[in-house]
Amino acid sequence: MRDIILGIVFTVGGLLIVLTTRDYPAASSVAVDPAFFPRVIGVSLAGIGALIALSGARGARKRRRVMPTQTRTVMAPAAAGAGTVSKPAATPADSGPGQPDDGMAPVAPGDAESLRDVARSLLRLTPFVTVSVVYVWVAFSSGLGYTTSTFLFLTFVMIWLSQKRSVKTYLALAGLSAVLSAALYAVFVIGLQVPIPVGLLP
Amino acid sequence: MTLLAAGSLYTDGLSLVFNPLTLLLIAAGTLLGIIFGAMPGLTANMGVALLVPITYSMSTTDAIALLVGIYLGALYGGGIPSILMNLPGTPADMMTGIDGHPMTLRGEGGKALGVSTTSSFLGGIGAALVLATMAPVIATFAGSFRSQEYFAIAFLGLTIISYVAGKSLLRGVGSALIGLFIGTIGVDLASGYPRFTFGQADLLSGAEFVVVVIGVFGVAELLEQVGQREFHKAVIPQKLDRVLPSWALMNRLKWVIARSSVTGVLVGAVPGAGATIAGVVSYGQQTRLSKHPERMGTGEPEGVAACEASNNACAGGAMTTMLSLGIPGDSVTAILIGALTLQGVTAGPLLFEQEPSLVSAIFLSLVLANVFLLIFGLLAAKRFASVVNLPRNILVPVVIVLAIVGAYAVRATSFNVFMMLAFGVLGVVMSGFRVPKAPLVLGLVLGPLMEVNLRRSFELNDGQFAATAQSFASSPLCLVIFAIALLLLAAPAVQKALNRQPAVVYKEEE
Repeated sequence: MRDIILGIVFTVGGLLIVLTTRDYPAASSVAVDPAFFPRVIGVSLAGIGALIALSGARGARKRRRVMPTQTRTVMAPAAAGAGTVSKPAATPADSGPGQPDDGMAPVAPGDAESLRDVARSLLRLTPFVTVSVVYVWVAFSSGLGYTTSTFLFLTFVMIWLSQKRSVKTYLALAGLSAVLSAALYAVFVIGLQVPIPVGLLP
Repeated sequence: MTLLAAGSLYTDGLSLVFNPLTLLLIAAGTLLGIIFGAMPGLTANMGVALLVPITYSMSTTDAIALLVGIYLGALYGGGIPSILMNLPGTPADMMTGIDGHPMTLRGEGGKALGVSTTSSFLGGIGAALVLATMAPVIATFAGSFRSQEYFAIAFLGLTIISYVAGKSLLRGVGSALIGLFIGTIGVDLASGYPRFTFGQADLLSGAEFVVVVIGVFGVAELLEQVGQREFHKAVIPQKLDRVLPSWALMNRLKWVIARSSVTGVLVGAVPGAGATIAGVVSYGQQTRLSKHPERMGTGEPEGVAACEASNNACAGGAMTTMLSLGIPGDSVTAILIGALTLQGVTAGPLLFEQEPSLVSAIFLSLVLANVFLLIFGLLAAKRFASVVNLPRNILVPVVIVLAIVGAYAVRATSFNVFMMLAFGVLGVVMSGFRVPKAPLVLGLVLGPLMEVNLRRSFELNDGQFAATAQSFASSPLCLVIFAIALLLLAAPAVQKALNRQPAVVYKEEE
């Protein structure tokens, strides 16, 4: 199912690329034609997308015929057995974000579930990404100043992601982010002379 | 004659490298790389990419010295948690833990770390020597390359990475195509026409390479960690006794290390194939050649030595290709090419003629980084182990802030930072759809190379398609390269038809 959607996205993307190049000035030869290479890329992408979607459809049909009890062990911290070479602790690139993270539990790779997991994990990221975007705007464009905004951002996020909930932890984290913000200011603004716009506060 | 050329390669850069600042940068880079690599979720790619913006204001020698240190440090550092917790810090060290972790469980964790350190050191030094002797030779040979040959090599680089990155060739090719597309954004130099800029002035010079890479590799990884409902914490076993391996042990391992180093250099030299493949191939090779193949996987030091020697040697091989051909040997050298470009230096055969002292300095930095690696590894391996336990709620925000300021620093515009975040989200989406990310980076680097050389080939033939095709076909080197590329593209399909497993299935990030 994931592959079908991916294939469609690729195909649409490839066609969009080719469409965008339609307004490009015509050229006498490939050597000066700005549209040539992008068009090749667009067409190839559309083709690959079709192939991926097709293989996804074929795989889905095959899977529906097989019993739905296939399991896949995710993130097994135990050492591999003798003779077989298995991968220790997979990084999220393999199983996709949002896999259940109680370590050893087998996961049924039902397509619909995995797709829901992908969507769910992306939704879970939205608040964090929004906060980061706001931080970037505040730090570099508003009058608040880089160091102060960084201090606020670091403290906020560290507390937000923290698993311990106590005032003492919060104060410790605030202290840590103050030190880090100052260090970043020292390294980047003073040491490396990066032209960060100055605000009302440092 | 080769030795004479190599002689000056050893000495030209001495004055550039042997000064307190550069030495400090190499040491600091190596140490930073070890720490970075030791943290699961942070890769060599990320470490190098995050620090490229910092190197902008440094001299070229210092910049490369720092980045080389990080590169080698990370490749070694990833082996530490792999041995101690069976959690590879970088994918390149995946195979280290297969024998390393059982050794830890037996209480021999210190010995495993010692073997890992010395093997990495020896593998790296061997590769540096290969760089010194082979790179000038390759560079002279590559000096005769015309645009047709460059196009062919760039094309080969792309096909290889699509073949080995991830389980699906189709998705790998798709990823590479996305990278190629991003490479076309900006003003087209041949026609002067802005492509895919959608009116954004910030895109006229193209999507900034470093920003894209930090976003797709670095920010994406961090976002994925945020996206997990809980953070994983593993416990480090208590017993870590003596670290330095005995002479007898090293004698036993000498051929393993030698073989794996050679394999590592060769894999690294091939454009597109990197440390992860090197580690897997060497481990597999060692299993086949071992006197006790049934003991591999139960805690044999050979396994640790094979993988670690190989992935460090791979760095030297990749840098040889990078310096002598201007083509990235793996995804980290792709980033290094970007860093050199920031400095106004173009990697490639001309580099040897125009800046021999820089090439020499890079070689010396490689050697010194390996030395520092040995020192740090033997002295502080146990202490490195505890850094791995840094709580994620501190690690993630700090690294994101670093990434943000680094992305801003490249061209002092927050547009790049927003673009980096966007690519971060793209990276998460790609992971979710199991699209490998490494081909994208290689497409981004190799794409412009391919297009420029293809167009030049056309231009030299007055834009005639037939004449251009003929100029490609009349070059035996081009034909050989294209043949290899096609073979590699067809190989997985052929192997599946013969009912054999395709050779390598692994994680693509370095």
